[in-house]
Parts: sequence; structure tokens; C-alpha cells
Amino acid sequence: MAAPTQGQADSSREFGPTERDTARAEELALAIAAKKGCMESFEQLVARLEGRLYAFLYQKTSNHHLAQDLLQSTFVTAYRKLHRYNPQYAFTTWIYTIASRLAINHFRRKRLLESEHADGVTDTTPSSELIASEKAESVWSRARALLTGNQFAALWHFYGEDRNLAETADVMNKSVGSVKVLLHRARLKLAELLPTNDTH
Amino acid sequence: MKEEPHPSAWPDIEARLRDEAKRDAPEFPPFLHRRIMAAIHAEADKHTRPTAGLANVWRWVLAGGLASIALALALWPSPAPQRLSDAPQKVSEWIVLVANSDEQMASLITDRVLNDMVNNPYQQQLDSLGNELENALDFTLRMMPIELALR
Repeated sequence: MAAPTQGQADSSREFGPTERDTARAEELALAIAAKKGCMESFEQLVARLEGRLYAFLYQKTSNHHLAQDLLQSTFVTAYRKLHRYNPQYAFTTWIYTIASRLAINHFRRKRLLESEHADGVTDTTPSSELIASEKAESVWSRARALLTGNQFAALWHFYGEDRNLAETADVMNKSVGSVKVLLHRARLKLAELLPTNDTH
Repeated sequence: MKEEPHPSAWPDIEARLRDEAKRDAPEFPPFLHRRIMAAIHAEADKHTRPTAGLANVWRWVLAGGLASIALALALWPSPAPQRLSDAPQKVSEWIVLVANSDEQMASLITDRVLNDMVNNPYQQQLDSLGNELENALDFTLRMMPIELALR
């Protein structure tokens, strides 16, 4: 049984504002100029995207310093591999992919290190437990814990960055149908595990 | 049949997602943009310095050349040990020969022959041998008749 709110929410934002199209065209022009060696164009791209990417990485990591390091690594990697960027795709798609992969690689390495050095000692203090419990109350923290990478990314681009379905699909390099499925599954998981009367 | 969550939960969740995304949006640190651009400029400088790469090649060539020269010098057969080993043997042979030959004894007394034997090729190493030869000569002279020694 389809949720009425889901359709309403999606249809009201299927035709996004044209200023987003203008922004995308400008980003594409800057990316092409940067690809040819224009450093000023690349700096403008950094200035346009750093805020959004920082928020995205912070939501993924819940750590300011790590998000800053990953953001820097994302742009340096993008600069280094600019010759591989295909202007057929949106620049934001490309750079969000780099950021996601860097975050995934970081957590993979961290898990490997932790498994090698596991000695059964857990670092829990009353303050750290309080911070952990406070963070757990945030719906985004719960989403990060419950959802897969793609489900979380779809949820973030759609709700966190206030994009419409087409823009979310564009950034994730997926079809609109795939994004709808990801959003639906993400909502179902959150609704199952979040109490309905849990409001602030 | 799988029970789906109550639809009324969704607006609440969606509202929370949007509200908390805005409320918890991290403040972008003012230094971060400069830090990012400094890292990018450093990356750009790495690729616009071709001489560094060229210097790296020549550095390896020079190091290889020096290593080859050092190896060649280390492995080159040194003539000195052979001459050193030959000289004492020659000197002792001459001592024996001189002790048994009058004429050769007379020519050995001259400075020229003595210098050739003792001072050539290595003065330092043959000085002690020269001393031994002189001692041998003294002994032989004492044993010989005085007329032959003064010829």
C-alpha cells in the first residue's frame, strides 16, 4: 500500500527550480576550464562545493576533524585525476563519488587496524557514553547505523541537501527509479525502528 | 503478509530528517578553504617541476657511475703486492749470488746497483731489506781477501 505522503512529497519536487540547472551548467563550464589547466576555475568549484561536501562527510563520519581531512583529500584527488573527468556527467556526481569512496576506504582501514589490535579493552567514560547516547538520538545518526551506504546517501541528498528526485539520481549516477526504491527502503527501515511517538 | 509501518510515521520522520539536517549542519571552518587550496597548489607544483624528475635521473646515473668506479678500483689487481713479494726474494737471491761470486760482489758495492735494488720501487718497504743486504755484504767482505774487496 503506497504511502500518500511519499507521492505528494515527490511530485511537489519533480520539477525543481531552474536556478539549479543554471548552477549545474556553470559547474560544468568551470570543470571543463579546470580540466584544461585553469586553477582559478578549480578554486571556484572548490568554493561552490566545499560546504555541501563538508556537511555530507560530517554526516557520514560524525567527526569534524575526519570530515575536514576527507574533504581535503577529496579535492586533492579530484585535482590529481581531473584528466579522467568525463564532462558527460555532472561534476557533483564525480566529486561526491570520490568523497564517498574515500570515506569507505577510511572506515575499511580503521576496521582492519582495530581487528589487528583488538585487546578487549573498551574505552568508555561517563562523558563519552553521554555523547554517544545524545548522538544516537539524532535521526541521522540512527540512519547512518541502520542503512546501507546507498540508502543513506539517497536520504541525505534528498532530505539533507533538499534535492529533488532527478537531482538526487544525477548526483548518485543512478536512475530515478533506483533512487525511489532506495528512498522507500530507507524510510521503511527508519519507520520500523524509530518509535512513532518519538518527537522532540 | 508483511506488516508495513503506519504511514503516519513517515511525515514525522521526513520532518525530523529535514529539521535535524538544518539544525545539525556543521559550520564550515574559515581556515579550511585556504588549507584545501594550499594542498592543491602543492599538488600542482609537484607536477610542474620537470627538472626535479630530470635531476632524479641524472642523480641515479651519477651514483651508478661512481659506484662502478669504486667497484673497479676495489677489484683492480694491484701491482704493488707482486712487486713487494718479488723484491725481497730478488734481494735474497742476490745475497746468495753475491756471496758466491767475486765479480758480482764488486759491482754490487757501487752506488748505482745498490740504489736500483734498494730504492726501486718502494723505498720504505725495502729499507729494512737493504739493511739486511748491507749486513750480509759486510760479513762477506770480512771473509774475503783484502785485494779483491778494493778492486
